[in-house]
Amino acid sequence: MSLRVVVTGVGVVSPAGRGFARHFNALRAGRSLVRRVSALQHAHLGVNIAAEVPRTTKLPRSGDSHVSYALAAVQDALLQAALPSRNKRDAAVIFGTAIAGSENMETFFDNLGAPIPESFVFGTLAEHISSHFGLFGPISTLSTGCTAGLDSIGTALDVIRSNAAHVVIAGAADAPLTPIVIAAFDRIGVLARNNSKPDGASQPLDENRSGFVIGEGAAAFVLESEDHACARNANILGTVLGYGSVSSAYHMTGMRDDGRDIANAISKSLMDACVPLTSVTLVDMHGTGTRMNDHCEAKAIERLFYKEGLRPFVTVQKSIMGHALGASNTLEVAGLLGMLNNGVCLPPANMTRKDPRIHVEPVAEPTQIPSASIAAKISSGFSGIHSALILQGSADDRCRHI
Amino acid sequence: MIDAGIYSVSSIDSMDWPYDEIGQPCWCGCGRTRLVREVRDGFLATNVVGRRLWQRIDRFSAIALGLTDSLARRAKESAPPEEIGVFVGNEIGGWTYAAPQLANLKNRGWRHVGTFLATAWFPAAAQGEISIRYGLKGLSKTFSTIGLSGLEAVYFGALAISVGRLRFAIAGAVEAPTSDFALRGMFGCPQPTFQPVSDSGAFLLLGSARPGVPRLSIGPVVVGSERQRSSVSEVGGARQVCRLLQRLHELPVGGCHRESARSNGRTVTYILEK
Repeated sequence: MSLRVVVTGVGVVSPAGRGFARHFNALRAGRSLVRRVSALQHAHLGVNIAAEVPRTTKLPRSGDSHVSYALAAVQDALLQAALPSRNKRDAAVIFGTAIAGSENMETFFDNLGAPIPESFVFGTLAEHISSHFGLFGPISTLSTGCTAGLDSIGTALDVIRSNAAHVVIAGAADAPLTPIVIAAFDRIGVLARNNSKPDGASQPLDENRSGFVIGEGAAAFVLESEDHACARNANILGTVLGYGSVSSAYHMTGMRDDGRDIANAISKSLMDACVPLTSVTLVDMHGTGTRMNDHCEAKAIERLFYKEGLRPFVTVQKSIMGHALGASNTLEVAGLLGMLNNGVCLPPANMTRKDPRIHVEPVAEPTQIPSASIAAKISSGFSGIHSALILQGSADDRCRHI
Repeated sequence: MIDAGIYSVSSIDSMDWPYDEIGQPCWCGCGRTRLVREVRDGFLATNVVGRRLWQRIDRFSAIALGLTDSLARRAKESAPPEEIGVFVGNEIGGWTYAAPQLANLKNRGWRHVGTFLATAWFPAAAQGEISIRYGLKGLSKTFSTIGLSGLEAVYFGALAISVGRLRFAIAGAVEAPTSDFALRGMFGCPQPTFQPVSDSGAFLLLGSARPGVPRLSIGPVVVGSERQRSSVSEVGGARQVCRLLQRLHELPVGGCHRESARSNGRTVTYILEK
C-alpha cells in the first residue's frame, strides 16, 4: 500500500474534560482520574468507582451521553483540521461504539411507558455525527466491542486507500457508567473492586493488579490522504502507517497464554505499514489491568520484540483514564499522538511493584523519544479480536500543541 | 464500487427450520395483536448449537451459527483460517438473553446478573461465536448502520478482500428482534399497522471476482443530501441482504442487475452479474 493517510484534526472528551490539551496534560500529570461516582453508589453495585467525564464539561446537547461526547470530539477535530466546506460535505464518518446508548436502554426498561430511545439500535452514532455536521459521504457505525476505536481508524485507512473517500472522520464513543454494564463486567471478575481507594484501583502490570476501572469519553480524528492534506496545505499532526486485526477463534473473553494472537495483529499492522519491527520506538499496550490481559500482552511484546533483542519503550494509559471500552483505544491514540509529537513516552500511573512474572518493562518516568518516532498501539476485545495500529508522529514543531 | 465473487449463499428463508408463530397482544393494552414469527428455540438449542452453548448465547448468535456453517466449510476448503474473515451486520444485539438479566439486576441485585450477559448481548457476539466455532482467524468486524447493516457488512467484507487482507469473507446480517422488550424498544405502540416481526438472517461467502463465479460490485453506505429522520421501524439489515440473494437467484446466466437499497435517506448501490 503506497497511499499514506495522515491525521489533520484531533478532538477529545475524556475524564480530564474536553479538549486535547486537558487530556494530554492529565496524562503528563500522571495521576489517576478514577473517583467514586454517586450515581453508581446509589445503584447498590459491587463497584462504585469510575473515571467519569466531569459533569461540568460543555457538550452539544443530545439524548445520549455517548453521542454528546462524540459530537464534541468531532466538532473540535473539524475545527482543528479547518476543512473547506466542500471537503467537509463529502467526508465519510466511521465511528465505533462498544455499547452505544445502554444508559437509555436501561432507563427505558425502568419506564416502559417513556418515549422509545433512538439509541435502542446501535447504529445511531454515525447517523447523528453525519447529520449534525452536514457530512454526506459514506457512513458506518462499528460495534466491535473494546477494539471499536482502533477498528474505526483501521477501516478508515482502507476506505481512503480504496478512494471511497478522501477524508474520513473516524473515532469512537462510549458512556458505560450505567448499572447493567458495571454489573455485567463485575460478574465476570474483570473490574477492580477497590472502592475505598479509587485513584489507586487501576494498576496495569502491577503485581497487585485486580482488573480495570470503567471510564468514558470519545475521541475523533480527521484522517485524509497525504496528497489531499498537502494540496490544501493542512497541518499534519501524524501519520497512520498501518493497521492489522485478527480473530483468535479461541474464546469470547479468554486469550491464548503465549500472546501469539496479539503478536500476529502487531505483525500484520507492521506489514500493512511496510515498516520493520526495528523501527518501532514505542508500544502503547491495551493494559486493562486484568491478570490475563496484561500477562498475554506482555508475552506478545516479548515474543515479537524482546526475542529479537529489541526493547521499545512501553506504556499504558488506562490507570489514568480508566477503560472507556470501545472509546478507550481512540483516547489512547490521541494520548499517543501527544507523546510522539512532544518527544516523550509517559509512564503508567499506580505502578508500585511490577509483576515479576511479566518481563516487559514499562517506562518508570517521562522518557525522551526521538522526533517523528513510530509507535504501535494494541487493543484486544471480546469475541477474540486483537487489533493494532502503527502511528508516526509529526516532525513539525507546531504539532507539540495539538 | 468494490468487486467480489459470490461463492456461496445462505439465508434463513432457505433453511428448513421449524417456526413458532405467536399472536402477541400489544403490551399497552390497546387490544391489537402483532404476529411474531421465530425459529423454534428447542430446534436451535438441539439441532443448531447444542444445549450447552445455547445457555450462553442469544438467539441471534444461534441463528448466525446455523446460517454460516456451510459457508465456513466451503471457505476452509480453499483457504487457511487466517485468510477467512467474518463480517456481521446487527443493529439491536441480543435482548432475548439480556432483558431477563436486566430484570434480575432491577429486582434481585447485581449478583443475580448472568455471567454470560457481557458476551451474549452485544452485536459483535455473533461474529465471535462464528469465528470460534469454525476456527476463522482473519480480520472480522461487526456493523450496525440502521437498516443497511447487512449490505454495509458485505461492502466491508469485499473491501477487505480487495485490499488483500483476506481471501474469503463470510458477510451478511442477522437479527432476532422478537423478545417483548425488543419489540417495545423498536416499535412501541400505537403503530398505524402492526407489521409481522420475524427472525431474519442472510450471509454470502465472498472471494475474489473471477470468471464463472457470480460477481458483486458494491459501494459503501452513502448519505444522500435529502435527509430523512432516522426511524427505528426500519431496523433490520438482514432484509436487504435477503433481497440481494433473491435478485441473484432470479438473475439469468449472463444477466446483470443494478439496485440501490435505501433506508432513512441512506443508500447502498450494488450490481450483480451472473
